[in-house]
Amino acid sequence: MNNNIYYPMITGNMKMVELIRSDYRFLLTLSRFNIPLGFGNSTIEQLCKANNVDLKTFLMVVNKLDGNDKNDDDNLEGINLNQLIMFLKNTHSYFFEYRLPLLQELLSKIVDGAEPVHKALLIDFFDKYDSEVRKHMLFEEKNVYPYVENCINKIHSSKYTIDYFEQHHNDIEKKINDLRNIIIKYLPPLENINVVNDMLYMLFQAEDDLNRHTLIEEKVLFPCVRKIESSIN
Amino acid sequence: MSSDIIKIWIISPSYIIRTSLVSLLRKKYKGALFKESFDLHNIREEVLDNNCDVIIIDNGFFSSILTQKETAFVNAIKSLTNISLITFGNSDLSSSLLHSTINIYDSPDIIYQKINHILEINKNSENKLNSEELSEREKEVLVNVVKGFTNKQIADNMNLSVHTIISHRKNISRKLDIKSSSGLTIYAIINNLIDVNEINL
Repeated sequence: MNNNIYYPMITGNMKMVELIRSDYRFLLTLSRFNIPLGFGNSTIEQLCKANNVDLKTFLMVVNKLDGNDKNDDDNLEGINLNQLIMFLKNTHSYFFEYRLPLLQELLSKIVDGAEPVHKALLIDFFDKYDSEVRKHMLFEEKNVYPYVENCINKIHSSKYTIDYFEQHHNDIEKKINDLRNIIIKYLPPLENINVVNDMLYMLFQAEDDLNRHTLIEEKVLFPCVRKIESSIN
Repeated sequence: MSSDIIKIWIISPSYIIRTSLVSLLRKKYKGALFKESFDLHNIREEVLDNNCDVIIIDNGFFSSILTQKETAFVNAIKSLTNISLITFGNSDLSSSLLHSTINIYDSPDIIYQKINHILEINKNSENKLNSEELSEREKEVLVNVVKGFTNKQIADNMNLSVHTIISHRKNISRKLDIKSSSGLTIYAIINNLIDVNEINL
């Protein structure tokens, strides 16, 4: 059976608003490509053009995120890696500047009435997690992305290869899962259920968001770089 | 298959078949989790990630009598976990490899019957050791982990092999669905398995 036939690809002539309607998580993708809202009925292609976003790169990202995941490494030809890295960096700053502080704020709200020991443990757990995520992302910004930029400029300077980075690509979603389960399954019920639910929603979202971020790194960025590496050597 | 939630995976290129099957089964199996795929791509990896009870595969993917290659594929999927494979479509695929075949013209009752039968078999074969409660041994290992001992130290303390400790740790994480040791620490304290003064945070 030919798999291609059943392939609901997202294409440039699709309206951007339809893309969002199909999966509202693409809102985050848009802002990370610096495509502003207020786009009326414009198509994906029109908006990419208007905002200097490489259409092919945008489509590759949204299709991968949408689960259209064929092992089509050949299609990675012509991906704009500079824009891809900008996209990934924007996700990082979203976490640094917005998501993590917000989670911290919510957490301190919900543990306010909890037993002092539990409160201290949860806050400590989150603080450690927060610094772990920052460390992970800073490592990428200081080592992985500059390495990729060097590769783009055909400078094979580092003693590393992308395979090395991929092997050390540890998952940072694990502890979010733990925190969520502790609150849902094990902690004595907390007082303000509405805020608790907000927090849990956001933990689910953050975990999903990190998974999607990792997916783009592993399915688009790393294979692209591997191609360049083999062309340099 | 460590939880009571039934997980059913439906693989068919046809949107109509997938969605109607899901809505049909959802009526009967309230609370069941459904996963849909439209092709067989990456299926082995996904089977490993998604521990499901039943996979229903469109029999359009197979020849009416399984070829050697198809047989190997079915066997590979089954060997990953003890999943039940059911095919679905407009012909009854004959193969002893498959647990059941649903025909597209089957009535809802017949379909429920067939799936119930499969789930019943699953339940009986399921090991009762899969309970969600930690055993006393596991609690002991957990406390040692939380105290910061290495696997080797714990093995020595408890007179067990490192291998056994590792397998206890895996079971603990699976049962609690907590993977990090800092998460396990919180669990242990909440459940009074250890006093907060006994650990260094």
